[in-house]
Amino acid sequence: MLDNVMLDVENLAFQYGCRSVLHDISFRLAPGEIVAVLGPNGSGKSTLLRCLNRILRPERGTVRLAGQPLAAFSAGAIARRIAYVPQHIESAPFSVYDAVLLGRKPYFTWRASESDHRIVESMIRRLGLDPLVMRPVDQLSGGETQKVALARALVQEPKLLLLDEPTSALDLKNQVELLGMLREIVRERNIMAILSMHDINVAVRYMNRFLLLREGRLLGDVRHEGLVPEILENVYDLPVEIHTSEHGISFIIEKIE
Amino acid sequence: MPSRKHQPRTLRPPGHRRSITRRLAIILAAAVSLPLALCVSIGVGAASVPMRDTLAVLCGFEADERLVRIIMNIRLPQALTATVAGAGLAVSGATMQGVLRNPLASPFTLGISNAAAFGAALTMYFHGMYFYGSGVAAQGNTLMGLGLSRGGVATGAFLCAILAAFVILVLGRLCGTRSETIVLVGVALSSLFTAGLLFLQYMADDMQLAAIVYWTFGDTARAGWNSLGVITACLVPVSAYFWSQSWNYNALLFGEETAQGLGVPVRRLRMTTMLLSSFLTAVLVSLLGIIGFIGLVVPHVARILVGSDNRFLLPFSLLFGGLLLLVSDTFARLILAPRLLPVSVLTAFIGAPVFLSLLLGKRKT
Repeated sequence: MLDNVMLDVENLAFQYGCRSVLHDISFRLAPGEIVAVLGPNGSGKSTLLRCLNRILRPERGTVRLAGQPLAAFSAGAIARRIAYVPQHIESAPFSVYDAVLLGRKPYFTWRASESDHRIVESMIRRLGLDPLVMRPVDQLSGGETQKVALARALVQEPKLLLLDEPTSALDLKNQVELLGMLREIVRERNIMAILSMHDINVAVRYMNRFLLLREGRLLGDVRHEGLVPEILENVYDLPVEIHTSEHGISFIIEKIE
Repeated sequence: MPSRKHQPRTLRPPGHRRSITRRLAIILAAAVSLPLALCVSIGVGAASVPMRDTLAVLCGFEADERLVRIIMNIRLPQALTATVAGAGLAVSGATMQGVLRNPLASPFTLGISNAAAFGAALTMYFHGMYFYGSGVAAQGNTLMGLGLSRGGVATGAFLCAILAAFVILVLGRLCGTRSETIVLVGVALSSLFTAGLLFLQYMADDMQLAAIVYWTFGDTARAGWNSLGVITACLVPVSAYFWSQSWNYNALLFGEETAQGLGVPVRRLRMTTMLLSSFLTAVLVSLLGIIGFIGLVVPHVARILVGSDNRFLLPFSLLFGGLLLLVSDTFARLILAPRLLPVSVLTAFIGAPVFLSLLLGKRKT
């Protein structure tokens, strides 16, 4: 059953007032895929994620999860299938434990069950948050707050994970750890993840597919080998070149004439 | 089979259970203090009633006819009114601050109280030609008007308050859905109604002026058993609804988008909550007048004592608001005895310094 879960986005369009932000976006995702949405500022990355979650209602087009259009699901049903971490995370004076427990809210009405607690506990441990477990979230660092938000999204046990710049507040070590763990979880649970990202080099290391956005249009839906300088120049409006290190890691830098 | 000792430690960290127990204990303490405070409040006043007699009357035993009358007609309805009014104002303030995510939101700062005062003044101005407001007002039989009942003034105040709430919500929606906008619209409307009130006060004759000014002093002595019944009938279901939404309010504390991602219908929740808390405030203010600061201060104190989790915050605000207004009301009756001070004067006097010290204390930590 789980293998059939699939995301199917068809001709998605969205506008804020009369300003078009997304035009005709179509792509499909299979379970186990982890995808980066890349593009310059204002290219519609965040809007795309919000439309996939129905936080914003798309103007046109459909989003299907496992063959069913999202519009048919209730808000609670969507929250059990799709988890979303916004770019700007606000923190409240809740303990890390309670903040993560909130991720189980779509599954219970008033009292969290023993299994809810078990799920929360193991996710806190997995993300290495256990030393902070009773600390108030509003006293944590930016990176720790981001981890708490990610833990909350993961305990929602979603089929699709939408993360809007999940590593923006993390230092290099935390970025590497977190993205590695995320890739592991996506494979292990056979779910899908879409991350909007700014750092293209980090994306190249951890993702296996890239959606390239510019001015709300999907310029490319490529895998590693498709990330050629021409298409990136088109997206970022900047001449780039791609180097490959002796370990086979490629990195992309601005081309110096 | 592995023994229990060797099973991996699952479930919550020990600190988590402890923090819940601690919060429950604080709520329990407030719940126990409330009936005690009620008994004390009923006992004290111009005619002191011994505790034993108070309890006897409350339990329906034989007692002195005079005491029964004092307690059942004056003290008990006033004490109960203070309790439910304080509870209602506090819980309205707590939920407004929650859904607007603004620590300054309260029925008072959003202009709903001022709108009610304006509505009451308008009714008195156009209808209350023979109004009589007097110094013995606090005895509970103030608004003796020819041609205009207390109910009429309350209706005018209520309609105006509800109208203001609608305007705030509609304008807030038109100007954008951000919660700050709603607060700003409330502040703007508040000053508009204050201006309207000043205008009416200027135009009114002496009698009307006295009645208008007197009305704005929030006073629990104004309510009898009927008003108490109305307030309670509104307070109970509205608070129950608020409490049932605790998890949603909690999610909202982490931002609108996070809450939406968790399946919370943010806009609908905000609308319903604002409407219900405005309604509750409108009922209270139209029956009792303006009682400031309870709605603003109690949720802040409650947050310091039991934290921001609405499952605990809302019931505690309810109890603590009731307790605080009851105690203030009792002091207001005693402080200038034999004159009776309206409780709103006292809450404003105490509320402001308490609030400031809270803010300063918070900055230090």
